[in-house]
Amino acid sequence: METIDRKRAGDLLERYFEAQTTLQEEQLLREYFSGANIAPEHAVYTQMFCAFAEEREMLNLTTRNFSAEDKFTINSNSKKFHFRWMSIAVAAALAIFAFLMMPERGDSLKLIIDGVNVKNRELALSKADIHMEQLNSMLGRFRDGSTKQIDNMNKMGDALSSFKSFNKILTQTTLSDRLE
Amino acid sequence: MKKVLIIMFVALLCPYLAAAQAKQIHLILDKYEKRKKVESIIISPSVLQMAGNGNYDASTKELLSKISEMRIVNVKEGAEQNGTPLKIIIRSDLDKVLTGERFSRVLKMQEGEELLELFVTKNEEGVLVFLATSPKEFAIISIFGNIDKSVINAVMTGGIKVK
Repeated sequence: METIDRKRAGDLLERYFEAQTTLQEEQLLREYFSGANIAPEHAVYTQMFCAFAEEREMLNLTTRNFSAEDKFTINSNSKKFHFRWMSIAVAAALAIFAFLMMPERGDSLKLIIDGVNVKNRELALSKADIHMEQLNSMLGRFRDGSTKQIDNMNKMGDALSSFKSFNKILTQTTLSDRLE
Repeated sequence: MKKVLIIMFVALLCPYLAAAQAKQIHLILDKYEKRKKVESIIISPSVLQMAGNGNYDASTKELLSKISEMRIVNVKEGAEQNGTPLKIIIRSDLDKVLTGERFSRVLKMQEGEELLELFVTKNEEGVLVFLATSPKEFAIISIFGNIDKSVINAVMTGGIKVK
């Protein structure tokens, strides 16, 4: 990179403002202003020559060789990109896992007899119905038994109630005798 | 993003953690349902109906919506494994689960040689298991889902039937 001194920079600036500089001379000026040795009287023009430096860098990124720092930036962007896709993939995998693990909720009826899967809906329904009937019959006997027990207890209560009233009369009589 | 994934994962796992007891019963039934002299019927709630209720009204729908599945496994007389009656082996496996802290026995009814027992999970999300033992057979009737008082009451009063 060719460097220019303070005097040459001043001459080139004058030519620049008179629109007489060539492209090479403008490049020399840009390099002068992007360096560290800028004369104090020229400092006000730094912004003008370096304003679009970042944008220019970005545009030239694809054509020039990457530095180690550039490579790191690109890799971290790519990692972010991968992480985004990975998280979507994980979410999708979880959804598929949940779908596969969920019990069937459709109109399903399955019958297995002696280890053989029998695809006969009517037979399955009939067998299930028989078992439910047997169960309900046993529960029915239990309910009847409980009702009978409750009835017996009620009858016992009724029988005891006459004793209770007799006991009440006796208590009242004893109290009135004592008062007299 | 990580937090969202963790929340999603926990939300997906919660029902499975809550239904651990039901899963244990499922595993036992799965283990024995394909043996000789064993019948297994798996019924979805859409095949069930409420007894004496021709109309599929909102209350019936609500009650049946609490049931996720019904399984009946019937072990016939003569079913054996290494010379031991299969019903004793299954009963032993079931007792390990049913006599634990998470189940309570709601009913035990003995009539002659017939014995009927009803076990229910203490938490609502779980299973209701009937064990009917007779000299001829051993039947396990299990209802999975949200087993609350309304479901237990419907079952006890013979309210749930197969269509």
